[in-house]
Amino acid sequence: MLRVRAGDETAFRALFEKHSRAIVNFAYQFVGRRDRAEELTQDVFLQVYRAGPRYEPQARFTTWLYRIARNACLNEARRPEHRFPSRSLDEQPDDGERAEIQLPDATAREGERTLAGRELEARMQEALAALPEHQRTALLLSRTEGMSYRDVAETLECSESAVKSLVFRATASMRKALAEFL
Amino acid sequence: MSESKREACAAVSEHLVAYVDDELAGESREVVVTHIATCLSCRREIQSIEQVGALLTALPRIEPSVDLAERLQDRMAATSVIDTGSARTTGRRLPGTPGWAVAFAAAAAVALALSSVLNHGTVSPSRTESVEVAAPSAVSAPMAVSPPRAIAAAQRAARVAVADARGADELMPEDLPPDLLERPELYLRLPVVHRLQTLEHFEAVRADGDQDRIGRGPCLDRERAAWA
Repeated sequence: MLRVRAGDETAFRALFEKHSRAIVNFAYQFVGRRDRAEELTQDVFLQVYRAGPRYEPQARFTTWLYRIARNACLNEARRPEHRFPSRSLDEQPDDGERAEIQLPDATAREGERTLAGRELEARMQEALAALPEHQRTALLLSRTEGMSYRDVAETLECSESAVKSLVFRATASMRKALAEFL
Repeated sequence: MSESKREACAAVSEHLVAYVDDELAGESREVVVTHIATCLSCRREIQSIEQVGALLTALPRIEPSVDLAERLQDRMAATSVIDTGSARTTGRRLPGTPGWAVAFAAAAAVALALSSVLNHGTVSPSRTESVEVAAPSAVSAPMAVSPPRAIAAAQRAARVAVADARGADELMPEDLPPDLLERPELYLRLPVVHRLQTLEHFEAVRADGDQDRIGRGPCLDRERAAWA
């Protein structure tokens, strides 16, 4: 990012290539639509680009990046038209590139596993969408992005103990929602 | 389960997620380790927490569209034009975005913006007849523009802008944006538009019948005062 600040535009491109997939997926968990997730990702990197000349390395780049992403996603998710759309089991995912969750049950036939996987995925998406925003963000950052509690705290601008509590409560809600699959 | 056992489990329970995440240290960790060594229900709880974590990690990831970077560049180019009035003022351009594209984007955006506002019956554009701007102001009395001359002038102006943006004497691409060709007189007023970053000005001009429709006059002065 320091190179971006110095005007090195290939560095910006490298940052985009390195982080864009993660940000698209992070955003997707908030808006549930690929097109909007990609637009939000563009918004995030536009902000990064604009902020480049004024960037001060006070935090790790990834926490700063996710802080921007989180704010963009929360603003978007608060718009009622972008609540996570529930998907019927007969409906295909919004793009063909996504793999289904593969259930480990080797005795089940392929079709049954796929259906069960889709049902599980739909249930997980619903459960995630039902979480309060801060819990969802903390859970996603720590679980799917692999951040430490310290980095999550930096991203959310709160204490580590608050993150611990957020992740604990989010996990409890997810366990309850997914009880029949566990 | 005895009361004391229940209390012990409750005390440990709130630390189990952090324990699974390897985010527990010191005395709290010792307490958990000691407790789960003898507590089957808490070990099951840990198992359940790990399953939730594994499922979240296994959530399918979407692959960004192949043209995502390109679309971002387009937006950055447009933003750059809007933010600065023109790309060359900052000297900062997107990697891989040619200067003529930036200049062209500016011209096209302005032409489109103006035409969208002026389309409300205030201008009678025609390729074959003179274009009449029905502005009542004395400063901008009805203006007749001969299309061939105007187009040629617009092309010259665009050529200069493009060459300037490229920093070389290269010619612009052959095809001008259609709207630009239809409304060359708007393009010729580009200097007026440079600092107008939104359509608000044009809406104001359109709503204010006694103002010059290309932005001169008291209306612009009021906006300048507001910006200041």
